[in-house]
This record gives sequence, C-alpha cells and structure tokens, in this order.
Amino acid sequence: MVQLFSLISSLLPISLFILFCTKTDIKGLWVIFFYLIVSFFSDSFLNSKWGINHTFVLWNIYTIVEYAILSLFFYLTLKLRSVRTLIVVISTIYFIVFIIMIKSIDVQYNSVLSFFSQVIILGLCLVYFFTSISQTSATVSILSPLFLVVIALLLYVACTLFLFIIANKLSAKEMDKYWGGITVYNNLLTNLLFSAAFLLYRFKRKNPIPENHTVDFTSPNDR
Amino acid sequence: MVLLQALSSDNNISMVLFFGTIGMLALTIGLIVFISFHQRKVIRYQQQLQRMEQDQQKTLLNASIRLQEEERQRIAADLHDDAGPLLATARLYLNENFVNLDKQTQLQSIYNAKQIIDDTIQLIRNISHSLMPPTLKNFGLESAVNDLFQKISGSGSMNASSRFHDYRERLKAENELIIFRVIQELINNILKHSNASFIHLTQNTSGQRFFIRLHHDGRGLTQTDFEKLGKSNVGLGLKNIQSRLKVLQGKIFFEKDMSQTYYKVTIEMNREDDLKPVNESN
Repeated sequence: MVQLFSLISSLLPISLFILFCTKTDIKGLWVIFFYLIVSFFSDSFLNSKWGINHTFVLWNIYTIVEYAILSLFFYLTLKLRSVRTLIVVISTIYFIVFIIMIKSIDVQYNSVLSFFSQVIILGLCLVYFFTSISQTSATVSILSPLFLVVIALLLYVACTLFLFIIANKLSAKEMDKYWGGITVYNNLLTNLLFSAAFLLYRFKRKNPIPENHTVDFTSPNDR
Repeated sequence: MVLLQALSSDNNISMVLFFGTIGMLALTIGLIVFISFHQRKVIRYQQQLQRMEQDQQKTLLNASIRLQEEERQRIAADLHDDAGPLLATARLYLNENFVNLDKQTQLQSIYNAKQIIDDTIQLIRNISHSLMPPTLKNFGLESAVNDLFQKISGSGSMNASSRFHDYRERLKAENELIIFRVIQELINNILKHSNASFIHLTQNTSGQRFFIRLHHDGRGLTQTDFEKLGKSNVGLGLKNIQSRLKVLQGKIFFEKDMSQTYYKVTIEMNREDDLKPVNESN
C-alpha cells in the first residue's frame, strides 16, 4: 500500500512540472523532470511480471541511468569550470568501470558501484552548497528551486547510502524489509521536495523580485 | 570493507543501517540548517552595508543641498544688500535731473550716477567671478590655482605657492571646476582653522592617476578625523568635498607627512577618458 502510494507520489512533481514549468529556461529543472519520469517507469517496471524476474538487471541499469542524469544535472547547475571537468572525468571512469562489470548485471545487485555513485552525488551536492555560500551577491539562493532540488537529492543520497553499501549482504526477505522501509519514505520526501521546487519556480515567476535600483543622490549641479 | 566484514549477523545489519542512515540524515539536516543560517547572516550583513551606504549618500546629498542654499542666499544677499541700494541711489541721482534744471547740478548728478553704475558693474562682475572664475574657464586649472595662491600670498596673511609638474593636457572643463572647488574648500578650511604660515600645492601624474597634494604647517586633519566628520552632522565643507569627488570617482587622503611636522592632503583621481586636448579647450 505504502509502496503504491510512493509510486503515485512521483506523479505529483511530474504533473506540477507539466502545469507550471514547461516554459522554464533552467535546464536543471528539465533534467529533474526527466529523472522523475525515468524513476516512475523504473518503479512501474519493477512491479511488473518481467521486472520481478529481472530485478537485478533493472536495479543495475537504474543505478547507471540515475547517476548519468544526476551528474548531468550538476554539470548544468554548477558553473565552475574545474568542477564541470571533474564531473566529466569521474563520470567517464564510472561508465568504464560499469562496462567492465556488466557481465554480472543479471547475477547480483552491484552494491559497490551504487555506493560510489551515491558518494559522487553527495560530493556534488556539497560542492553546490559551498559555491552558493561563497557567492557574495544578495541573491537568496535558499529560496531558489534548484536549491530545493539539491536538498532533495542530498536527503535521498544520505538516507539510502548505507542501504546501498550493505545491499549485497541482504537476503530477499531483509531486502523487502529494509528497502521498502527506507526507499519508500525517502521517495515520498524527495517527491514532495521536488514538487515544492516546481511550485517555488511558479511562485517566483509570478512574483519576480524587483530589481534594486540604487538612488542617485548626487546633486543635480554635480551631475 | 571493514564495515562489510562487520556485517555478520542480522542484528548487526539492522544496527549499522539504522545508525548509519540516522547519522547521515542528521548530518544532512545539520548542513542544511547551517547553510540557511549562514545565508541569512550574509543577507543581513549585505542589507546593513546597503543601509549604511544609503545613509552616507543621504548625508552627502543633504550637505550638498545645504551648501547650494547657502550659496544662493549669499548671492541673494550680495544682490539685495549691495547692488540694490547702489542702483536705487543711481536712480535717485538720475531723477534729480527732472526736478533740478540747473545744468551744473544735473551734470554732477549724472556723474555721480555713472560712478555708482560703475561700482555696480564691478560688484556684479565680482559675484559672477566667484560663481565661475574666468581664469579657470579661459586658461585652465593651473592658471586658476596659481591666481588663487597669488591672491592669498598677496594678502600677506600666509605664504602660498603652487606648482604643476605635469599638466600639459587639460582635464574636462567640468572636472577642472570640481577640482578647483575642492581646492578652494580645502584652502578655505586651512585659512579658517589651521593657523598655518604656509601652504604649498603640487600637481603630479602617475600613469593614468592624477594627484594634487597640499602641504601646510598648521593644525590639520588625519583620515580618521575626516571620516568621523564625514559621518557627523558638522563638517559641511568636508561633505561637500566628498560629494564633489564622488562625481569624479576620486579619493581624498588626509595625513601627516613623513616628518610628522606638516599636514598633507592628497586628492587622487583617474585621468582615463578625462583628457581633453589643449586646443579644444581654448
């Protein structure tokens, strides 16, 4: 029941994006929209007859696709050239390792690869936060849709990191117990935060912050 | 790896998973809270800075308006108290011609009226010169400053000298006027408050930077005094200097010189986009 609710909850940010954000020029939001669609279909497949028989294939493919989408999100969001280069280099290495390990894709869930993808995303979230902190402009980055998206990703990564580390050690029964418990609630929280981000985008577009025109106090004689 | 080895029993798995996830969650929430507080603090600080800057600008504007009003009142007083009675007297002399038909008396009254009109012309010329010195307009900053210093020296109250080392190309007329007004204000302050026996002005350039330095041996200001006065309600003239230099994006520094004997005032501005060929200015 809760799992079904979690699956349906991913429709909320998708519909909010379609309603309010289709005209956005923030590429990061489009990437998140795409990520939500992929997650939704992946979860749906997992519950299908084929998905139940090929759970490991689906999980492993989902891990690499998820990593690709989220690293693209950070590539588009972070403007630092060095960080962008680092994303490209790390992602290339990551994909090469994935291809090397592809033989075991249907045998077991690749916990190590998943752990590394989570750690990279966690690192990128931290880079995003610290670059936001070091900005000297008066822009309130806390109240930006991208900031909420990164918070959602950070919470998602933080909650599932330990689960992914020990995923290989879990039996099917334990997997049901822990996986269901953690990921379902985590999905709910993440989807709510994504929805909040899209709503915030809508709110900000409707109520833009007025530009601060500095008053010219120089005397007319001095101008 | 150590962690994976430790996961030997169900209980251990549950413990690691529970504490690991809770720990990560706590760290994440802590981080988010820290960032939110930090951002708020930064925004508050920026707003405070903006407020201070606006207050400073308001003070400068008020000083500038007050000075304009004082200048207008001075001109109005000059015209009303000096030119007005002179012209009224001249009118009286001329009116006498209608009443008194004696030719000798008429000639005398016309002569008196002419004298008074000449005085009035001189008075109006003085007022006009104080508004815009003709030397500055026609011959530039160097001549106007030299002229001003000669007048001060000529009065015998103080030894004043000036030397322009590198002023082959004139600044824009409006910028010359601003610098001249600043120099006038500084000289005025030195004459009024410092009890100095000499003032020496030098002009120099260094790359695109244009410098004017004033030395005197009286009581002077340091940069701290200047900044204090700039923030207080007194020191109208200094605020006027500040607002004028702001137009030029120039700076002013008040300090004691190396020997700690003389006070030094340095005006510094950028000469870029400000150069005007001599031919054009004449």
